[in-house]
Amino acid sequence: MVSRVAMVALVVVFGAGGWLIAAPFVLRFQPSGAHWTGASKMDVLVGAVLAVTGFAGFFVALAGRVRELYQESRR
Amino acid sequence: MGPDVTVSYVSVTNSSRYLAGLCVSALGLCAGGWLVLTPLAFGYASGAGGAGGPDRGRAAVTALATGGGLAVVCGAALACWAMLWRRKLRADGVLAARQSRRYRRSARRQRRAERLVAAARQRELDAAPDPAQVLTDLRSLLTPLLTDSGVRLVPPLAAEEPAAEEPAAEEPAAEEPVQVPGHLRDSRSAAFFTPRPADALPRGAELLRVGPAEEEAW
Repeated sequence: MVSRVAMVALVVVFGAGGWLIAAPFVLRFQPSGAHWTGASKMDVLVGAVLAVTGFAGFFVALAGRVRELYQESRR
Repeated sequence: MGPDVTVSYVSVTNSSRYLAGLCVSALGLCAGGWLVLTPLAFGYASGAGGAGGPDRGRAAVTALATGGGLAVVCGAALACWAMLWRRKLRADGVLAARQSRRYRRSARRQRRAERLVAAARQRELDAAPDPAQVLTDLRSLLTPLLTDSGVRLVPPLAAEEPAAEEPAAEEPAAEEPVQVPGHLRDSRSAAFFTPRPADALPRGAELLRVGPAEEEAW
């Protein structure tokens, strides 16, 4: 149960990053074709970092879990 | 370069999962805090005025809401990953096995009881008075009270001897048999065998002297 919650949290981090990247365009506080505002730059930058780390972290954790399952099946 | 290196390699590869989860969670926590602080730090928290107007307000609300939610989720994820890693280390024997709550409570009560017993014993030893000193103090307290009321607490040794002018009649006669305490004055007592003077009673009168058991027989 705890392991699932932790994995879901990594997915949420990745989703929050994606949302932060898309938010300026979805909520239209960054008009298309206009010069980027400071808030938009900040959101996209933080969102990108979160999305990359969340993605990488999720798959590293998933790989570790699969390795543990292999070790348990060998015993 | 023997088994120690292999063990450390295995432990690192096994713990990379937990390290990754902890790192991502910590980064998400920091990012959430940063997103919450950004509208205040860069001055677009109130989007009513200024060049951006309502767009800046929407950006601030988005940053605040996303940052707050992210901080909460990442805090929970941090706790979960830490718990999972500790559980794994405990299963591998790296950390000591966790004692049950009941065992810990019992051990705590036992230690508290031992402390209380030790403290009570120490206090008793400290407060135990010297019996000789207690008797001396008691005598010094009672002596004035009893001398005022005319009672001697302990008579002096010289006064225990009988005075010379006391009548000698109170002393038991040498010829009379002495009743030993605890002995019966009948045929079974030691007084039965003591010699009696022949003229103390008229002849034949000693036959009338009977013991209590014989009186009951009559």
